[in-house]
Amino acid sequence: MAEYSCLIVEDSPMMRQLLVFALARVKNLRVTEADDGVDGLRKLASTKYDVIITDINMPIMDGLKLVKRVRSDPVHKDTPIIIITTEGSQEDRQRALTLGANAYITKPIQAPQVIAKVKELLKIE
Amino acid sequence: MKDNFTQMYEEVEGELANFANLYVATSQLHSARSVRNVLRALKELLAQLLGAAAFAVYFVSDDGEELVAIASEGVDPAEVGRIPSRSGPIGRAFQSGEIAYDVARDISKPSIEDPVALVPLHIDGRVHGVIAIFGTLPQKTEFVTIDRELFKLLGVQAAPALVNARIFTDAGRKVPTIRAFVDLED
Repeated sequence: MAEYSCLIVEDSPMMRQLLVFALARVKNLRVTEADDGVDGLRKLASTKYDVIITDINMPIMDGLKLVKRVRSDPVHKDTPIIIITTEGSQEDRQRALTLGANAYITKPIQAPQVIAKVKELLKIE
Repeated sequence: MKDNFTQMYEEVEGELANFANLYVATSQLHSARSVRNVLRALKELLAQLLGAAAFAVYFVSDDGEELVAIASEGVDPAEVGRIPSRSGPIGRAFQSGEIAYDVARDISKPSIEDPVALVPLHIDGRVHGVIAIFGTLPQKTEFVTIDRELFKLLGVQAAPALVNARIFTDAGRKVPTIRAFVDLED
């Protein structure tokens, strides 16, 4: 039975598939997928997740806006958030972290890096 | 210092992650049923899995003299549109059919004249095009082992996916009747 839950917010089906595959390596983790920030918020309205992974560049609502919204929601304000994006600059990293993201991974992603970050935030050995 | 078990565990985890990347690449390419969607998948694979920032996908012209860019990203399409199929680094890769990629320099520095990776596209042992990567994302400064595997996969899977999608579209998106699978002529 799943002990932990993770919401992936990513517009690319390929990236979602890759993340789902990677996170299948984390025991007892249930993964839910959302197409963009709005879909992510819709899912957050009915479920509390243990960790959120979101892309930055997405149509309709980008990842930074999503982080802002999550951090202003009393139910989800403490949920760990991992930002995944193509942006590699220190400035972008800082922007995401200032808004409240807990970790930042740049593309191309390496599955072991994602797994390690999720385990670290969920405090799984 | 890591103990043997931890080291082996990490190696196995790394291998599994690499297999997952290859599986995702194959399934994305072959689940697309139109040329547009195959090209979209291909562009995503190059960008998301390989970290390619500037690239073009070439297919050979009917007379075999030119390579025509059928998709590109991060470059001026006019600059990479048509190139000779028998000269220059891309033409030479097309002629040789051999994958080539840079190991000596920072691959994130883009160069149209001197691509950082060249992947000839094969069907049935013949080369029909080339993927040319001109530069990668700033944070991707070198190719790693899994990239080489992805190059090999794209070299044999991308062109068949494109051709299959074209044939499927030309056939009115109809799946052949059972006779086509029973009366085998090939």
